[in-house]
Amino acid sequence: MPPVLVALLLSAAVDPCAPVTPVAGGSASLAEAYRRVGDDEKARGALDTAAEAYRRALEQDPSNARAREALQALCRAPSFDAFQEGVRRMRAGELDAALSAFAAVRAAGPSPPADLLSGICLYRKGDFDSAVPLLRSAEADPSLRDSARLYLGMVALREGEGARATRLLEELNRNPALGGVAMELSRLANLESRLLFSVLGEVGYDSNGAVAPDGTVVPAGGSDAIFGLSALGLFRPTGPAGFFLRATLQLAERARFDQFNFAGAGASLGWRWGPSVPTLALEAGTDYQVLGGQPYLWLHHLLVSGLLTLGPVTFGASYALQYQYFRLDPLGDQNGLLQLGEVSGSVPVGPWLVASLGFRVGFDSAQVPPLSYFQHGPRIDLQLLPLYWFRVGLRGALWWRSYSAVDPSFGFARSDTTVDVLTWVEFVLGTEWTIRVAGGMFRSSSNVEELNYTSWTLTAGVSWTVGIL
Amino acid sequence: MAALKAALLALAVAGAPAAEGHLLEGARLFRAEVYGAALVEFRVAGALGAQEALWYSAAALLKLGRSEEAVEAFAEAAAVAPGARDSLLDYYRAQACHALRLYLCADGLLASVVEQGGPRIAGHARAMRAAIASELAPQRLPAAIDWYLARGKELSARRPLLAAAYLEEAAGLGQRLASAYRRQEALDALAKLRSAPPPGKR
Repeated sequence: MPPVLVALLLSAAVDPCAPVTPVAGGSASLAEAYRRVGDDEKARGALDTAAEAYRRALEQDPSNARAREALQALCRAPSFDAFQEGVRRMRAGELDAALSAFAAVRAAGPSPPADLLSGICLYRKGDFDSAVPLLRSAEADPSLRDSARLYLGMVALREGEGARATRLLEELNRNPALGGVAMELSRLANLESRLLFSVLGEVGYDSNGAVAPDGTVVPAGGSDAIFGLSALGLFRPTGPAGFFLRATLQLAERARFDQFNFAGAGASLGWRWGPSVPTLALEAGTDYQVLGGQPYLWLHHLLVSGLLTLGPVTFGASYALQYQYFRLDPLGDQNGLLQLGEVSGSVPVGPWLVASLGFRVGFDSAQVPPLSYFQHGPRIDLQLLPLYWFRVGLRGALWWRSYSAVDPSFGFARSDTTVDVLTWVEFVLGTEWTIRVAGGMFRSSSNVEELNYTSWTLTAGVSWTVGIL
Repeated sequence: MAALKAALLALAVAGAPAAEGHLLEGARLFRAEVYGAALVEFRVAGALGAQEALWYSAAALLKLGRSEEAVEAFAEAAAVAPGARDSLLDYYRAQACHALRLYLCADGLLASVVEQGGPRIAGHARAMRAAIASELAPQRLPAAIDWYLARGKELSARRPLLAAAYLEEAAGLGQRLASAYRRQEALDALAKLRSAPPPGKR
């Protein structure tokens, strides 16, 4: 019973034991044909289908006594009634009642479908230890094997056994009926591994490459080509929950404005409570950045973040405290603390779209008041997931930034508004490879004329992510 | 599914009139993924004289997860209505074989699906064939042959069509080994099975 059938079973609108409504102009001989099919299905042990056939027989001929008696007998059979009751309860989300009903079916004799549905109920309750033996029992039935393995893989995934989940789910990728679901779960399992490496290489075009990371614009600038490489290593010895250590490396080379060639390396360690939602994480880390071959910025950060689901909405909140230590002498006045906070909510919109809306605030306490600022603004994310191998994303963010004091070099306090929009498409190739094409627009509007600019970017990249343990 | 629909529409024109409505209703239910009800309609169509309905019953059995019965029904359909076979039905039959680990059975059917099926179904078939190839590593074959032979002999008396599928798999796998491991034994069991009078309908 593949998941699709489980779903169908659970969503079936007709109670097989509900009263039958006769059709107009029914045929007694046709009723007999249905009745014989019902008898044959009953002899094969397919009680659901038998009940369906008997109901059709009675629709054709309500006086067909053999069909009526057979249907009544089926509905009186404890195991059939209990199974249907279990399905009804499962549909209603009454998992404990469903489990009791399936237990009655299993007490009457071996029933791999009841084992499977019991295992699914227990999975949904989060009782993975109890679910696994039942799913293993269902796995022994060839017709239920892939469905049981799908849920066993999901249990492994929830327990942080990423590598085991990947092995289970990758086998299902061969099953055309489950391939899409299994592929997506395999990718998730890959991401939940204890030791994870990810590398992204990309090339692209930037219509305004003459902008430094701090927004300084080179006069008479122009477009540039970008070559980027990012790498991530993540070690979580106890799985998604518990201690973690993360290392990052980033390189961005430019064909023309090599004074903006960027290199950065960072490391963070932290602790996460809860393997999935709700979850809370605390981390501390440091990042060192080089610009144009010169030491540029040393960042130290503390970050606390959490997720909580209430109804259909997943709420998120984070707070980051960064100490920015600029290593280039002219930027020394910008040294100081940067605080960033965000609250957000995300909700699925229909089967394929996830929308997220957030609001962010930031406060930078630089060495000198004219360079200190307060900023705030909304962020929106839309992710369209029409196919397991194809996804589309759109992200937009707005910052309104007001500096704290008059800047003597301008004669007024600086004020900026920035708009950052990025859209991308991703093609998922197996569990490890992804091709990504992205287009972005960044607009800076400032009351300092030379800080007004627009930058358009187009990049294409390929990423490789592998979970090892 | 388009091929199934087209085949059924053709049947609606040329098939047994009393069975037409049930074939079409079965196809509608199959498309709606209400496979139990579809199976009932296909079985009634078969009872009313549409031998082709056996193919569709087999497909519905596959979708219901009743793979052993599906393999039997496909074998019966191939015997009584060989002309109704098409690429989509071959693909379903291959899935039924694959579910029972009858890899040679599945692979043979998938080879023709790759040749004759549409681009999407041929793509699935290629992926399945690649997976099957990895299952047929020579070092695994003797143990697999032992299992297929034992299963085939166990089912011979009760379910000859299913038993034949297992025995054919054992014989086919034996042929892949230089030693022809237990191939003759499988062929002998098949010959004995085919010469025996058919058992009563289950």
